[in-house]
Amino acid sequence: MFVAITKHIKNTSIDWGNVGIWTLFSIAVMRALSFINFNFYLYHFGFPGFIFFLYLGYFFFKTKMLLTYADYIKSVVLISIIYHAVVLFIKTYISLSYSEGNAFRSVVMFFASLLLASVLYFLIYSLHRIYKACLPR
Amino acid sequence: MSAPLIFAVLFLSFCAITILIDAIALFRQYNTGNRHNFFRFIDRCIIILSIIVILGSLLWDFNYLNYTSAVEHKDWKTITLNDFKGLKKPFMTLDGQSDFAFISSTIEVHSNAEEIKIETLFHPCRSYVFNRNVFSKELLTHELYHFHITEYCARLMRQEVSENVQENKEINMNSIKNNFAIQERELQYRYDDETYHSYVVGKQIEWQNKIDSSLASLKNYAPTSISLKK
Repeated sequence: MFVAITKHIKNTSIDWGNVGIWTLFSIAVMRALSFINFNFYLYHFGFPGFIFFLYLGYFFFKTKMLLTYADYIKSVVLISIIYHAVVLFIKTYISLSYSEGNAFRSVVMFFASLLLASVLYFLIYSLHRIYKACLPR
Repeated sequence: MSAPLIFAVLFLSFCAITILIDAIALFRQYNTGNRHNFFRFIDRCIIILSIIVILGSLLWDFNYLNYTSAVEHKDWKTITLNDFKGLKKPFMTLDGQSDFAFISSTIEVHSNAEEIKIETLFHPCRSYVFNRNVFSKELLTHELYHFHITEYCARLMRQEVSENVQENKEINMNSIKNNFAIQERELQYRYDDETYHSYVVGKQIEWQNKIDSSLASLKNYAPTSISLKK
């Protein structure tokens, strides 16, 4: 359905190199934020979605095009899965970050970030449509 | 100047210098009007900054700049608060207090065809004191009893494994390890909660006696190796 809604946006295709960079960036930002005593829910369920939204903004400035929802969600899912896999790997095999998280929290974080990223996407998408409509023909 | 502060200052200075260099270079790139190069440069900056932040933040989990190998439980008498070489997170306190320490101890299991080795290890690079000016004997004793609790659980684990070996039962190490990890965590929390990190002296002594007698009752399981040979 979402793909149909956004079908008028030109196919921008995902830049997989950027996905890799933003995965690294997401890990770095989440690590840095863990030093500040934020609200538990804001840290775990708010920030990841917001970082993915920043990725959308960065891609927009880079290509001057808005990603389609399908491409955006593909990137978000991939970044999110790699992020959680890295955290799990660090926790299990290197025994660092021993106080952080569990599998259930990771799953909830994953869906929460997906939801927030989607909500923000459609907010920006609506603004983008309004902006386009206001442009002189 | 204390070590954590030096690390923090160095880390922040390094980040600030990198950002400054990036900003100058970005400005120059942008002026040339080459959009492709501009974003390629930003990508590189993001990669470099992310790696710096990740490596820097890992210091507080594991102080690799002041590495000391793990200490086995049999050498527990050699441990002092100077061995707590880890870094506590900036501005971190425990219920507003800073007269505490944190000890990191783990149970490590290694097995081969001939034996199973279950060791209790103290990790100096992951253990830290909240305030290095508060080096008291009581604080060290309290932290060492956390280490003893880990050893107590390791001995229980050795006991279960030994019994399974003797009875020729199949040994599921992962399941045993997880069960004792949960039991250990509960004990550690209860110990801290009841003694309030050694502030409740009566309870602290009570726990010390309890742990000492528990360890003594399992002294047959003090050796770390369990032979699998029949």
